[in-house]
Amino acid sequence: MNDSIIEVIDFRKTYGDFVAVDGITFNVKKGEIFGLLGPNGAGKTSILESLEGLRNANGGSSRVAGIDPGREPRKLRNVIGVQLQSAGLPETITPYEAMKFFCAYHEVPPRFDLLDRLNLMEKFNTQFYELSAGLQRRLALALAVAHNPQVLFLDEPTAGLDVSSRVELHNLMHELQVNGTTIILATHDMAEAEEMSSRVAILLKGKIVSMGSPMEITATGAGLTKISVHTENSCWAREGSDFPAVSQRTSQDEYGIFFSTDVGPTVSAIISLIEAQKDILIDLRVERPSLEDRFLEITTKGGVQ
Amino acid sequence: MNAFIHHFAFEFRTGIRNKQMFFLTYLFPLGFYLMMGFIMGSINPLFLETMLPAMVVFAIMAATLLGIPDPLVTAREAGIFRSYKINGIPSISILTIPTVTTIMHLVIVSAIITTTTPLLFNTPMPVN
Repeated sequence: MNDSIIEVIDFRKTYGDFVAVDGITFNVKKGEIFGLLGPNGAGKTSILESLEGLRNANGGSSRVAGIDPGREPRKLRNVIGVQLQSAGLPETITPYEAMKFFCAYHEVPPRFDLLDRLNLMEKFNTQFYELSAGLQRRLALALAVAHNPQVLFLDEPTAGLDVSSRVELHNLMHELQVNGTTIILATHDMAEAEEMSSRVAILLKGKIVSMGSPMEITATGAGLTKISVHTENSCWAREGSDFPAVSQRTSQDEYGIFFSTDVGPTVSAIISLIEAQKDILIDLRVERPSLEDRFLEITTKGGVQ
Repeated sequence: MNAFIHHFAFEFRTGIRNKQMFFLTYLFPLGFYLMMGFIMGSINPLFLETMLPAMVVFAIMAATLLGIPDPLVTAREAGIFRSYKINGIPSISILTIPTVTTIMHLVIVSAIITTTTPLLFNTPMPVN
């Protein structure tokens, strides 16, 4: 059974001679949070805008909930919700008016509960330009989800938000996901992509250079795992204490720091040494390369998997 | 129809809330009208004969030529039209509703000028 809600096949988008998206293929399953990552100019916006029905592709095909965005943009309107990077609201509109206005066009009752949920009720009658950047983004999100879209496109949803707003927004995203909404998340925030996304695609110069779950992507890199160890007598610092698979070592404060290409043998050897030297282990930390490390590795080296 | 009413009501209020639009639709033409009435009326009494239609035409030009282009460019730059398109707001509404609301504001300004000119400056009503 095909449970993909978004299907993009050999998609291509050009602007004159410039190829923004060069024959990419991917699909997104229902209820997934799919992260679209890439440096500026990688083609994220072109893909998003084409899937939102704002631009026509120059080649290939795409379908969102069974609808061809290029041919049936009107049909698409009630199926998708979009939070644009710029809020895209008139500066004099109030949250109350905006909710009534947009819901009226989607032919659904206004969802004032969403304004309450996103702490916008206090600013119910405040004009848009008077709202803080965080409140403007929350309002844009409330409007994007007010008609219960099957697919939600979020472009940099947490840019400019404080920590609590960010957490609230992430909770809302999880809630929507649990209720079956598929979310396409375009972001430069790697920590957010790693935390929220079921799968991510990393774009570079219009091509997908890596795709998979954040864990799969971080596991495939040449990134080194950082192992920090702190013992009472610093036995790891003595001469001859070499560990397998360690390519670099250093020390900071009381910690010995080892960068390993194969974490298992290195940690085993460290623990064996501590036991053999009758030293006492105080702290041991293993930090795998983050999605950000992997992203930088891919985008700076430009390496295709 | 419900959507049209909400859109229309919002756009009409924008003409009053937006400081720039309010200035160019109401304050500037009415201020100019009062200034011309008081100053030109004493300098050149013949001016009063054509003052009413001249000030109405001036109000229309100020609101349309000066008042419309900038908000249109700002709205486009801010992604408002894109947002409208994504949310299924028809292009025809995007174009016609602000036009109709601007006409309504101009009717109000013209009515103010038409009713106050004979009272303040003792001018004749225009005739064919």
